[in-house]
Amino acid sequence: MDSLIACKGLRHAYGRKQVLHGLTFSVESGGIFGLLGKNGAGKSTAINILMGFLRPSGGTCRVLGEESHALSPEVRSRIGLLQEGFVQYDFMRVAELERYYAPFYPGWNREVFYDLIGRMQMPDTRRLSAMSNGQRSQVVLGLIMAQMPELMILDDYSMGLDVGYRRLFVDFLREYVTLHGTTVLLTSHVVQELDRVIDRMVVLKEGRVCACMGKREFMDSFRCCSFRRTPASLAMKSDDTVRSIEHMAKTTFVYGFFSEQEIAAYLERHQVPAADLVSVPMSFEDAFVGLTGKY
Amino acid sequence: MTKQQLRSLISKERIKLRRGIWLLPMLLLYSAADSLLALHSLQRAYGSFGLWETIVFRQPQFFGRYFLVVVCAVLIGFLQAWPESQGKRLRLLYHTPIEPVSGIAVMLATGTILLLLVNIAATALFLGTMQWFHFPREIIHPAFLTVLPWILLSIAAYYSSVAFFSSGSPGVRLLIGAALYPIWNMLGARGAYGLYEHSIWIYGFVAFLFVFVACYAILHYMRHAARGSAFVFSRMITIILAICGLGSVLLALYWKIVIPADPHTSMHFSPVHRQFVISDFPAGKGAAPDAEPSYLLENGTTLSREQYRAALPFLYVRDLVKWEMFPESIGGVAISALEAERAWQFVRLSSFDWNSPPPMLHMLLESNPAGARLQKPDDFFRVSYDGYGIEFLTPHNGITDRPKSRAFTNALGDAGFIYPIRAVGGNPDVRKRYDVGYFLADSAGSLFQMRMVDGKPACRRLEGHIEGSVRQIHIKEHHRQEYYGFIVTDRALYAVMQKDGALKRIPVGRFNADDLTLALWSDILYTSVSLESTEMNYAGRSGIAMTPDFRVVHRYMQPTDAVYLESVNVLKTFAAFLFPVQIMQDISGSSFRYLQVRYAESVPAALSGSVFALVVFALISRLGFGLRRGSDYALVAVFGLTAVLVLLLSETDSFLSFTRRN
Repeated sequence: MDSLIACKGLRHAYGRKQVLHGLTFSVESGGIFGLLGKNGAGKSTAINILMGFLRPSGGTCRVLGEESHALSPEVRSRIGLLQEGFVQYDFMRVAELERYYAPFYPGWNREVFYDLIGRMQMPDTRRLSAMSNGQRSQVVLGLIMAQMPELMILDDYSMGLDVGYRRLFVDFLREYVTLHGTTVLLTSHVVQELDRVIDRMVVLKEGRVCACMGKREFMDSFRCCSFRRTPASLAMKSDDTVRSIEHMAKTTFVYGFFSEQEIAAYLERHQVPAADLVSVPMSFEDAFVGLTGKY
Repeated sequence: MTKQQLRSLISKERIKLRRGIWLLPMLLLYSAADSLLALHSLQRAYGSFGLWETIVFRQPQFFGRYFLVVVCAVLIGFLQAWPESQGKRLRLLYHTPIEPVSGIAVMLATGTILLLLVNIAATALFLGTMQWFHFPREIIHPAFLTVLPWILLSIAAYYSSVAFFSSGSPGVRLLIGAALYPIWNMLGARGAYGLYEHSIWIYGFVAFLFVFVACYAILHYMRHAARGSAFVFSRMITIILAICGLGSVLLALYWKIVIPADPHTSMHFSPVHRQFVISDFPAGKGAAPDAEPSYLLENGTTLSREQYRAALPFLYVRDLVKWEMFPESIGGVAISALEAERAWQFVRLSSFDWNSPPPMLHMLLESNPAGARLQKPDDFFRVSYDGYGIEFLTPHNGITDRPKSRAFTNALGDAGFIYPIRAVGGNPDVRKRYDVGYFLADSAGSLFQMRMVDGKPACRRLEGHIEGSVRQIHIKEHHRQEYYGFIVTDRALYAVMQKDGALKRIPVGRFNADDLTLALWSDILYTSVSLESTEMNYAGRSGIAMTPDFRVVHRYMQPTDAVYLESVNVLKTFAAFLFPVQIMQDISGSSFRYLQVRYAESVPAALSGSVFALVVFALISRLGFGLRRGSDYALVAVFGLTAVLVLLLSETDSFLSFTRRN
């Protein structure tokens, strides 16, 4: 399967501050791919490089076979781009936006756009600046969908949306992807909702990839166990097995890609008493926080 | 780009502009109405003739509101650029599946076409207003040449406005300011009509270069990604414009700060001592407010104030009378104080007089008025378009008085005038005591006098031949009635004698007619001339004393003050070091505005300045501001420290990041 996005050894620095440290991941055709990470993980930098607004300091990033910072118009016509904050020409009306973009995309599908607009029962004579954030998000999504792109890059689709519009957005997206087989790369800060959306994911932490796998595989392999907090547990340090450690008043939680038996053996080797070791069920959000840490 | 895509891009521009485009006709109509009403009120106050007279001789800026075309340009730029660049909207332009340069080109082309339409409309309104009052082309042309710089400024302002509102980068905005501010000063300055006549095309070219400023500002947004040739080229042009602009401002500032105290000296020929006497007025920081000038003879003998004035009895008659020092005779000629007071004439001629827009129209007075005083005529005259005749125009309706025009044209021809007319000169001042009419030079180098006597033409040919190209015919009626006036050509100075109507060449030697100030003093004993120029100022001032029939009796060269000369040379050398390439608008000896670029006079100092600037630039580059382009080094090598400054301004964003990090 050809990769629609292929990043290899991606590095970027702002002056002397290194932000990305050799990112390597790829996005295959089909499904929804999540680019996740906490604030400051390097997510925005990676997205800006993918979208072509930054040239990486090192490594390569290819989108649909071309360098991301030098995409040809033909390739750009195959990419649907949502910018953070639903950036669009606010001074245009809905119908004007549709008429403006149509000639630039060979596969432009008017019906898809107006189908979405129609569901919101919004007049196409309304200016974008006169709409709420939620309505804007639908119009912008409609414009992207009407392009019939091969690849969609959605940077923080959830920004400024209430739960209702976020659900609406995701539902439309899911429906579209199922119908048309478009590949989607998205980011969002509302991690708990991504559980319903993404098929695969890459998680960034301090400019490095700390997980790159299917979401199901992640949930199946990433575990949380708890045991009584002791001085020995307080002295524990994270490593490849125990990815993060959290101490509560009386309990220590450990997170990592391990089974219950593997963690028990690990703790015994490190002379950490864990007679009361139990496995803790996690939601997707819990697992994400466990992998990336709270701070 | 397909036709449909082009249509879409144009449609987007239309949508952006529709919000404020209605302001444009309002501003234009306001400009036109204001100009029309200004002329209307002049006409109501002074009549049609008075209106023309005011325009011709006072040159008021009745069309001043047309400067609003610049405001229109800024408005268009704002309407187009601001919505395009808010938040991260410029990213939409870059992601649209066309070459970004194509999108930018459509935006700028739309705005430029709209601006040109605005300017065409403004021109049409201006010309219509002028036609309403029947102004002839001789008035319309120079007046329009005064509005045209604002039209060119509007083009530069439009592109600068697009650039400014498109970019959020402090560095880019500083560059825009550095480029626009000087051209704003140059083209926005008020003055006499038609001062830009000789260089309007150069200013136009520079104004259109600002399109690259707009391209650079928009492409700068993506400077961290792709860097095509369009970005590199537009950056280079923008940087050069900013360097030239900032360089011209800093050079002017430099001279304002360092200008040395200019010793003011005057030189007059003394009929008593038969040599020149010099008065030297102290100036500058060292001089006390009430410091007395010093007075000297040529040989350096110091004179007291009384002795100085006694040496110039014609000039200081009243002082000498008051001091009871007035002599009974001067130079062996018995003369009373009253006679002495009326026995001299002084004329100052300067290349500024002829290196300036010529008079738009002329006014031929009736030389034999009914009463004692001269009266204004009912019409003006001009040289016909092809130079083969005189045309009289009636201000009331702007129509040519064909019979009168034919009569005067034929009268000149009958007197032997060979057309086309090469030069015209007269003194249309009704306050003078008598009128000698106008003097015209024909194509064979002969001089003719043309008067209107009892409404009819009276023309005659004067003795003598004019050599060289006539720069000015200076006519001034004087109670001494010795000269009609003087003629300056590029080779010679002539006096037009009133007694015998002959041309007499004044033996002043060689001079540069484009850089000359000449003072002529004439009394019953001697005629003296002093010449100076910017070039000569460094050698000295030349004085020539002659008998009334222009036989040279004495010559003197007053050397320039050595201290002053030394100061000027040092300052020029330092200016060359700081500004190897110098951009100026004014040139010595001319009222016209010329945009000039020249290399500094002191080449060694200029080259040293370039080397110094390269060293400074290399040191700064090592600090890591991103100034590493080879072309930047080439700019520094040519333009010196100004280029370093501008390049630093262009990287203000990097500089701010650097200071924050350190």
